[in-house]
Amino acid sequence: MGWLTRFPRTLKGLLLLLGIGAIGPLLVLVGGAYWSWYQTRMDVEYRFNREFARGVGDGFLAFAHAIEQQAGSIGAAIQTAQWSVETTTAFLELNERSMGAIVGSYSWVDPEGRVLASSHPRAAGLSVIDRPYFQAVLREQDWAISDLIRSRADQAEIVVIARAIKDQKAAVRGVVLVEIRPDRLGSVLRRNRPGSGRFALFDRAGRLVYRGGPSVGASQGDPGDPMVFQALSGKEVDGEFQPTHERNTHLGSRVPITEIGWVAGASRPKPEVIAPVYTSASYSIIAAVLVLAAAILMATLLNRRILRGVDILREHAALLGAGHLEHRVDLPEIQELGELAKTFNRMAEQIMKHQRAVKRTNQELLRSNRELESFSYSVSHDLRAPLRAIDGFSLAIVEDYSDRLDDEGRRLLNIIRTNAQRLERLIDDLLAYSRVGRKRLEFVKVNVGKMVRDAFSEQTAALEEVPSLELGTLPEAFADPTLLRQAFANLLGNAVKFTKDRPSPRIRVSGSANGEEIIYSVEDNGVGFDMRYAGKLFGVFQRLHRADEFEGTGVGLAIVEQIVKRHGGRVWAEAEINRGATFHIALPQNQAGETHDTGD
Amino acid sequence: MTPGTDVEILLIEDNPNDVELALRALKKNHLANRLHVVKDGAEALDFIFARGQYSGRSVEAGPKVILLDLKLPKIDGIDVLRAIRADDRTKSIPVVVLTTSSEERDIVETYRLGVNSYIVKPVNFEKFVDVVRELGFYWLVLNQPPRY
Repeated sequence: MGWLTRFPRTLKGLLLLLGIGAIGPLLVLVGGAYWSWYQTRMDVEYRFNREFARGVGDGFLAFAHAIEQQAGSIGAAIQTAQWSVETTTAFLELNERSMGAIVGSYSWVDPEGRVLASSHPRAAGLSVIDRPYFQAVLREQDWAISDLIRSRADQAEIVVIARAIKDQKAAVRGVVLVEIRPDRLGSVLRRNRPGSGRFALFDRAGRLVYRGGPSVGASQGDPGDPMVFQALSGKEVDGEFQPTHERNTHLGSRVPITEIGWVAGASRPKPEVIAPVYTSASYSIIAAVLVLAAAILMATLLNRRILRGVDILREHAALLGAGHLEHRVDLPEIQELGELAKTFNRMAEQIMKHQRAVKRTNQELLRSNRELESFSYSVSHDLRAPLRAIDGFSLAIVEDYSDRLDDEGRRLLNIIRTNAQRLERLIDDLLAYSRVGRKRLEFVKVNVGKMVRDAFSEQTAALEEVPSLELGTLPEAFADPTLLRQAFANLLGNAVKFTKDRPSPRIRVSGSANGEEIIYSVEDNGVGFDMRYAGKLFGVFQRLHRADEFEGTGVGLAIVEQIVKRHGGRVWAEAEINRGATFHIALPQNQAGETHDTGD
Repeated sequence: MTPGTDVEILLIEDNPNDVELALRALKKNHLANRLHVVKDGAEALDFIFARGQYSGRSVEAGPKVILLDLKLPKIDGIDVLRAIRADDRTKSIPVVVLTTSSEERDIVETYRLGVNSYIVKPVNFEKFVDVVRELGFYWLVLNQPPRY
């Protein structure tokens, strides 16, 4: 699943997310609207079907009543007239003809169920005593309607309406049967439904009596759907069902016709109902797909353009990073990226400017360094040659003309020689000082204990009385060994010098590390110095002692300070007159100090 | 007699004061006999390779040791040293560099070219005499150059 977390981090992924974020809610909204429309259409359809079914039921009932009443009139006339069978038959035939095709026949039946006369040519003489509708009118009902039954006269599927004819004492004197042809009910129940809406009548057994609407092959007597049987128990039912002989599901209502126990129904194929929703929705889906495709296409194009711009910028930055500062980029197509590119260009320009400045400074530094070098070279050569002559020839005079010189003359010549030699030392020290400043540092691990011991023996080699040396813990240093050794040599040299002629001269060197710095201390019990002049301690040619007390040029501590500073450290001292002095060198730990040297 | 024949020590030095002091130091150590002085690098090369005014002498005749100042007019001491070391006839002559300078770059360069010893001329003349004594003793008495 790595891609899932990595995916939105790319520019491409973000753009795609943005697209989904924008189109997603819209799709949900539109989908919701369609769902609501679909629901509404279904509700409306159910209401309409129920109303329609009720209408069908009411219409059929009205028709049945009309027939029953007419049958009553016919029966009353027959009973009153007391016609012969032939006349009665003729009367019934006359009535049948006037009613049209919907009425198959009229018959006159005696209370025993025997057909006395009928407009149907083969009905006379048949018995209907066992028919439930006949039993119903014999018992109490004025009239009754049969279910769908097979005619005993001609085997046709018919519905019979029976009307009892009673005397003043409410005794049944005869029954008029009206044979209804269900296939002709369309003329009575003429109703218009838009599209392929259906309506139907079912008898008490749930069998189809009549179906209106487009012909779909269902026939009379077919059993009804489950909803019909629910409606037979007396309640109105709505729902979806699958009619036999049909491909489509129907939305419909089944409504009981309470008075006669029948059921009326109305329905419509579901696809027809929701067709507008589907059509509209499919248009919307097509539109959405098109919009989405267009959006993706545009996002891809835009994305490609942005990515291309970003790629160009990335390459540009990489080139700049690799030092190709002269590289320029131009991205006019996208304003923001273009500005970014311009910023990059300006940045490169700035860096180049700085580089040029640094280069110039470096060149100047190099030049002044070279000048300094050649200066020190000629100082060491040209200044020392005359000194050599002064010293050498002064000595020559002392040696060759000593018989002509008195003590004062020799003393004066010695003063000349001493000063010449002192000037040489000054020159040497000054050159050493400038060498320390120019030397390239090479950092290595230094065994300071050994270094201190070596430097100490060097400083005391020519002495008759060597001060005692004590060494504390001396941590390893990371430093330039040549320079650090010189710093220790100078400090130890000073300590030796200023403890000379003191009672029990002692020098102690110790060190400690505190995580940030390593601090080395060189402590002596010599003459010390006045802390008021401590500020002058590390200046070139600065001396705190008179030349006739202690020799020296005043460069040694300046060299120490320069060495320590070049290592990124610090140096300081504390002292008390006649109690001794302590010099501290602090070197940074785990750090190379000065890392760049301008002297190359 | 052609100048420069049978020379034991060749001193190449331009500063007359230094020449005089060097002579003094050599004399004090009894080394000044059969010493020849040249004042610049060009003359030094003429002498060593028996050219020009020194065409009468032979290259193989010596000197036994050369004292060479590095800072010379016309041709620099380093170049003189380079020429000596480049020639089969002269490359085994011991060369002692005399210089005022303790500059590291000189020392490194001359040692690279195969200098035998190196003396920084001290201002103190007595020290110089001491050094020359050790030098003379070493090169002229103990260290016999190979015969060829």
